[in-house]
Amino acid sequence: MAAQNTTLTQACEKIHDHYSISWLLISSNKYISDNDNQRKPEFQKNLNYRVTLQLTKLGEFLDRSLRRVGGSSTSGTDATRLITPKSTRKAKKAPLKQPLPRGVIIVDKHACTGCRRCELICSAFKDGKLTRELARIEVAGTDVGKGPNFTPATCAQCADPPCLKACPTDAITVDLKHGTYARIIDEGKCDGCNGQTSIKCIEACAQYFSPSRIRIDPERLVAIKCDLCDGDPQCVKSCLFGALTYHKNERGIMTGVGGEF
Amino acid sequence: MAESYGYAGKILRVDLSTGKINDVSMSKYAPKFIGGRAVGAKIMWDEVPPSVGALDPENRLIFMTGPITGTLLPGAARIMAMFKSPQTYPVEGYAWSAAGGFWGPELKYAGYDGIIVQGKSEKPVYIWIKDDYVDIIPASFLWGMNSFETQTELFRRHGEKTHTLVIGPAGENQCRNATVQTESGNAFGEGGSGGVMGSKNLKAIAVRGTGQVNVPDIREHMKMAEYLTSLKYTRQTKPLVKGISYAPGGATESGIHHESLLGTARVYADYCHACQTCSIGGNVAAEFFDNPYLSGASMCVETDIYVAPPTMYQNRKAGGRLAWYATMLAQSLGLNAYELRFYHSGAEMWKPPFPYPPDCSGGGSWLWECNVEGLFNEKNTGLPWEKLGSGEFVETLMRGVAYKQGHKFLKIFAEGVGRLAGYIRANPSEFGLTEEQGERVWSIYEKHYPRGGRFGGYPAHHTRCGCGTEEGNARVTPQQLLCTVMSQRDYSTAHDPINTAKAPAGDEQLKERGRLLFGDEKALFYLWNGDVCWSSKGKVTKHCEVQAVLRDSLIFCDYCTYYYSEYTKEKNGDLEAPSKMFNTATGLSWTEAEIEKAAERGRTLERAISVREGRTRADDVLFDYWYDAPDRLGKIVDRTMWKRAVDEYYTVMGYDLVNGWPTADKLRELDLQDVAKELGKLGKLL
Repeated sequence: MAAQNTTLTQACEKIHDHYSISWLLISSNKYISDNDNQRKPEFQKNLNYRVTLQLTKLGEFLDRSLRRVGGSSTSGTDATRLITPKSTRKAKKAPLKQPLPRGVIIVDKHACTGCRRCELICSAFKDGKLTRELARIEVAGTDVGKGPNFTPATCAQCADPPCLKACPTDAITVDLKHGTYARIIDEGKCDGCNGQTSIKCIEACAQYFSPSRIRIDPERLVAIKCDLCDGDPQCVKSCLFGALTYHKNERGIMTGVGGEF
Repeated sequence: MAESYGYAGKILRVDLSTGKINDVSMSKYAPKFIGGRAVGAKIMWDEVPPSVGALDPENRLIFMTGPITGTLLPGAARIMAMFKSPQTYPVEGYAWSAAGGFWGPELKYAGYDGIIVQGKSEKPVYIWIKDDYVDIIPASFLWGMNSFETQTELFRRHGEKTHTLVIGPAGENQCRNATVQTESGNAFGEGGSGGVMGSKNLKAIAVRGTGQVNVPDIREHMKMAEYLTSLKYTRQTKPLVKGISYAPGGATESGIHHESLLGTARVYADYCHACQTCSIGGNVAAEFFDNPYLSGASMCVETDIYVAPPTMYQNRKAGGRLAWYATMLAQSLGLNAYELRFYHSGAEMWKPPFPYPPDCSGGGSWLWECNVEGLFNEKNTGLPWEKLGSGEFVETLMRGVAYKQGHKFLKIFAEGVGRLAGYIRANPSEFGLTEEQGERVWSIYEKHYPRGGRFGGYPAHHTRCGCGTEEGNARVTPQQLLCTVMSQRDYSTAHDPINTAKAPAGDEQLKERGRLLFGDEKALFYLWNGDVCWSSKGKVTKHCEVQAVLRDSLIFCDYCTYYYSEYTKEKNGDLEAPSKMFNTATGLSWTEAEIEKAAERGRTLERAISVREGRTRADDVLFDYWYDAPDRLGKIVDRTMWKRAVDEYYTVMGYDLVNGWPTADKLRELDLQDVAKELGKLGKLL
């Protein structure tokens, strides 16, 4: 029992190290519910608070993983509400200048096997090339050293997109045409910030998300990002393990930077 | 090569003695030899004469990808390693081994189809490949690290997107059962590739590629990938709930803390990591909180050996935990878990006097059995036998072998179980044994290492299998014994294209498949009317071997084979999947017959290499144990039937019946005249 207590304490501390969050949640929760009913409410409150912070910082959408915790502050809540970065909460009252996105890709990192099929299918579909360098989705992480720990990094299609605001040539727009209202890049307008080393949209995105969800196509020197494949995301289709789901809402989704919390 | 599709177009050659780095054109080898294993065989034939020893600088260590590696096709991520093996006993012979992961695709994206390592560096080095940039970097700071630490350190230096092949301490110490490790759960197990890499003072090969693989028609390719994926089952989404989670192939527990002698561990399953584009994607992993030395590893669920530990953990607590721990420790030390795997759980499954060898045996089983018979004790092995079943025992054994330290027994163990058993047989008094006891040690070895002759040394694998069922276990399986003897382990395993376990519709389908492929409905049966079935087994063995070369040359995963599928009509899968995959990647339009011919060319070339090394018919035998000891159903391998099956196999392969050498006609038919010429010079051609 003593050993388990130590482990639990360590587990809580590790949450701050981006470490296998919901695994710890699940195991900790099991431990508590099975063995220590008295400490359960207090512990769960702490966990939920901390985890929420952590998640918002990472911009991860641990929909099912969070629900499994069963805490009061998360159960029954739309998971997309949890993905607002902490630092932008104050700005939420400012009126949003862009229409809200009507679709977003939600990630369950625990279903991810890290097979990177989504990356390949993305560049194959969008660029006709089999390379991971042009993928608009990026599976970060490795299984060596600290256990399998993969996180597909997808564009949050922010409610108040910093990339759009940062673009000097107004190349980033909202995709009204296909009805996804995704934040897309008009490659005709994008000049890759004139070949400078600092790409404005990438820098803006990197303030909130790591890695930046926008990348540069090294051959064409234009910025590329996820456009939700005009409402039929290929990565979601190709994922065999349910790590990616496409969430739609005709009334708009408060997601990413500027999202409601 | 006219086509630039599929292949990257060049092979990297690194000479560690001189530091010279250059490219070899792939057009010299492909598409004639397809890629992967067959190309590796051609390079070995051209460059490594039989006089070269396995641990000599002149030996080549070749890592090859295939034309479909790095594409979207499911399971197209594997790498083949070809080298002269230090493990085969008593004569060092040509060997190959495979591993999954991401290294292969990454190498293709960097612009290479493969890498040939030759020579020997004076000091420890590692090779760093970033697209066109190739460097040989001093690696003293990595020397001594275990395989996980090495990879982590390389990620720190070159970024997490780097993929690496590394060796652990066992490889550094040139153990003959050392492996080359990639990621946390993939390794080149057979043959002792780690020892070869260590003998070259090469600690790691790190690759980062930002290029691409070209395919002729990307939309068609995507459709083909989708089609092939649809032929195989996939781990369906299952929530990771508290308590038990389910992974097909073995129920495993998820997210459970449990205390053990090895520290608090969490064993979990389902979604951990997969190789690139894996369509099956269920791996098991465990994490030891208190033991940073084993700070996380995950392995492919599909490989039964890796499923076994957590399964057994559930069912047979002590044995399972130990097996799991042993596997992970072996991976981190870079040792062949298969050679050392300690089936202590076998204590329950196979009680003395051990009438049958287990489905998958290994050095551990041999060791344990010798101990139970009173041959091995603490004094003559240096192993704490009273602590059998504990982590301490496993650590003493594995560290002793990997570092070649401690008792003399362990030092010789590092030379492979074959050499150890042979040494004890020759010098029993050094281990306090009588002559008879020494012979007994050897006969137990024969049981677990069935291939007789001079090119043995590989543990049994499914040679008496019935896919793990109580009734099926320990049965004589003629075609699998033939495969094991003729080539290597993974010809003959459950991974083979005609394994009974993979026939979803049962006996009727096996009969139909037998008629379809061999014109003999009995061909695929182990037993027919209560007797061991030897019908058409030579043909079946040839089919297995050719398909295995095809699989290893393209290269796709053992478990993503498409010969049986529950999702097609008649559940027969797609027999033309290999040519379809090849064509969609390369833009060629080969038929299945053409691609099988190319694979047969590769297999015959491998045989030619063995023949040049001195292999004859006398080496294509089983040890006596296998002819004498009855299986669970009371059947034995009949010597006459064995001879007849070998005759049939030689005939269909085009080898002469006296010596087992490829005939001139066959070599001409396969467009291998240069091989025929050289064999003729050696007087090994009829």
